[in-house]
Amino acid sequence: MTENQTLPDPGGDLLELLDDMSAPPKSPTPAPPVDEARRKRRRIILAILVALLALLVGLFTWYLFNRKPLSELPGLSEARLPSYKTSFYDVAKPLGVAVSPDGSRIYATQSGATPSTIVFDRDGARIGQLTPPATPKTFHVPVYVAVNPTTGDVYVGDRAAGKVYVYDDSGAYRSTFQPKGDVKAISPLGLAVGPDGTLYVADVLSAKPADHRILVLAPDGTVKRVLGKGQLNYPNAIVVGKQGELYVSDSNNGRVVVIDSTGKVSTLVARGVGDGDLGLPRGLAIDDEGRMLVVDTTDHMVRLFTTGSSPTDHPGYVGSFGDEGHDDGKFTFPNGLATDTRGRVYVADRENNRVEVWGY
Amino acid sequence: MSPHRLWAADPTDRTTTALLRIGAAVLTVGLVAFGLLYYKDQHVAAAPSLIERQVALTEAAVRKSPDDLAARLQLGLVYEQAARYDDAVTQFDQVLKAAPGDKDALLGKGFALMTKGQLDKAVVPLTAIVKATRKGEFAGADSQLGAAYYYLGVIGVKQHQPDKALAQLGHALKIEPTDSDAMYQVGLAQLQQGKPAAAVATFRDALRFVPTGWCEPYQQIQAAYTTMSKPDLAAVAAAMAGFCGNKVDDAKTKLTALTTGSAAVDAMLGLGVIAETQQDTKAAAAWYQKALTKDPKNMSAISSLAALGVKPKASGTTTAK
Repeated sequence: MTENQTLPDPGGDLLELLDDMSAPPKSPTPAPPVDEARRKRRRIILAILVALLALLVGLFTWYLFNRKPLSELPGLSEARLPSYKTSFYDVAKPLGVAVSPDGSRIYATQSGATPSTIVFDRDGARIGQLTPPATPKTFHVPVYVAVNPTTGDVYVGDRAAGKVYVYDDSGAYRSTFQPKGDVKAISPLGLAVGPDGTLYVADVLSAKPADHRILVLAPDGTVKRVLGKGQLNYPNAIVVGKQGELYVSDSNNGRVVVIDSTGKVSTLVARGVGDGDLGLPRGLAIDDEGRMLVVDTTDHMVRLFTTGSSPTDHPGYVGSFGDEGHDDGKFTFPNGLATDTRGRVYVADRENNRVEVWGY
Repeated sequence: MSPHRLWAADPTDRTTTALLRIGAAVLTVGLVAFGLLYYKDQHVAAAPSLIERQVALTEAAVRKSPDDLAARLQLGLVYEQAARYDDAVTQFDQVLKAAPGDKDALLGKGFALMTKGQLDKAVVPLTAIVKATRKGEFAGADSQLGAAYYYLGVIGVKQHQPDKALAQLGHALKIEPTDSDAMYQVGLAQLQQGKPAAAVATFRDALRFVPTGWCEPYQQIQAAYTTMSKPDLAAVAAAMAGFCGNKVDDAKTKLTALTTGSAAVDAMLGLGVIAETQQDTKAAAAWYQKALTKDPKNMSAISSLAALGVKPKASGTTTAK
């Protein structure tokens, strides 16, 4: 550095420095007192600053309303696979998983050890346990769990007991859901609850696929409809679509089907070895971005599809995540799956005794 | 004062300057606040992995009962799973100090040393198992002895001593005749011996037990056929390796193109396997039958048709039961 060069005063005015940096070389002749060019530059900088502030306010507002990762911003959220985040342990042989409407509680059915449903908070801390009623004494195997999106009530399907137990959002046992009419007994697998309290039960009372069906039950237990009878083979998870259609993982037929309002069953994804084909689909979810996730239990992975505007549109295969194993991000016979509205995916990793958390 | 600052004396400019300063401050504070909120909201502290948890639990058990050999053995095995081979060997040595003939510890130590690449050292505990058990009453059904022979065979292959490897792997296969991993190692040893045709037959035997999802044998078959200057057969093997790597449509296209050449039978059998894995029994049977028509004594085609419950027809048609 020569003697003639000077460093700017670090405590000096930043704006002055910017002005000086963008000014023409200093000449011995004094500049005119009012520099229109500088004034214009400042106005442009002010405009950019205002735009950035508006952008920040918009981002803040979007985030406060959605609480999703920034990668879920509109326009960025499609056709991407989630990445592994963490795991929730202290659950034995989890089969089903569900999330409370606000995403603060995660429910995982525990088929091993003491059959019950474990409640985790969003950070994975075990905060409660939903236990079946003490009477009548019977074997219990809680399989799938669903949450009423309106009330937050938790529904647990117990296949061994042939019951659906209902708990309130604080975890207290409330009642046993009892179908009315001709349905004397059920053996529930997948469950779903509509916003109006309608309960959907995948019922596999006998080993004969001809008897497998989806029961649509009013909150008082009245059987509203019986769907898919004779067309399904161990239906597992059920998802209620935006237009009232039902998506079902027709497990032993190796497919995902949609059942429309007329009761027509249409295959969306089938069994095979091609990209996106299924082996033994179990867990199923469609998140608020319209992404359909299917647990392929025997392939030890989750397959992700985009859905179309119409329920019967063929889903677009995006990719799969997970692989067989015990490491983080791997699965061993995964079963249930749930998504929240904050960009998280929860997978019941049965044989690894954990719930894996994935996110975008 | 710089002459350039004279203009700032204008009230409008002073307002602009003040707005710029306030705006920059608000933007900075806003960005920091958003960053903090976002981090707090989105940050997920990763839980210890399953294997880390197992290691912690087993270490605690050993700390509680340092003389419990079963706990130490378990810790060695868990360390192996965690790829902590040095720690595993330490635990196995502790067990062997108290129980020198413990086969689980010998086998674990041999495997750990082999995986670490200390092949000569690994031979010692594995040979100890062989010496101790090869003449035992149940030697023919001793899975630990079989595993020791297998690892010794793998070491032979790694050391490019195919004769030694084949001897050990032969013993392993006597104990477990359907061990496709041992067959694969035999194939590798045969390649080292310069017997690609024999190696191809062995790899095919291995694939009989694991026909899908195992790519290496197909890759080795491809290499062997390339050595044998049989490009069509190498291409079939390459297509099957592609199928194994989930390039199903590409594999079908390539195999279909090869059904008219010198590797037609192999291509047809490959298409049959693909159809079978796609649950298309009818198409699979048709491909196997076509292969059988071209080569009436082809055992793969005959056994595949039998597995599908389809009776081979001399005329080229098939009847499903």
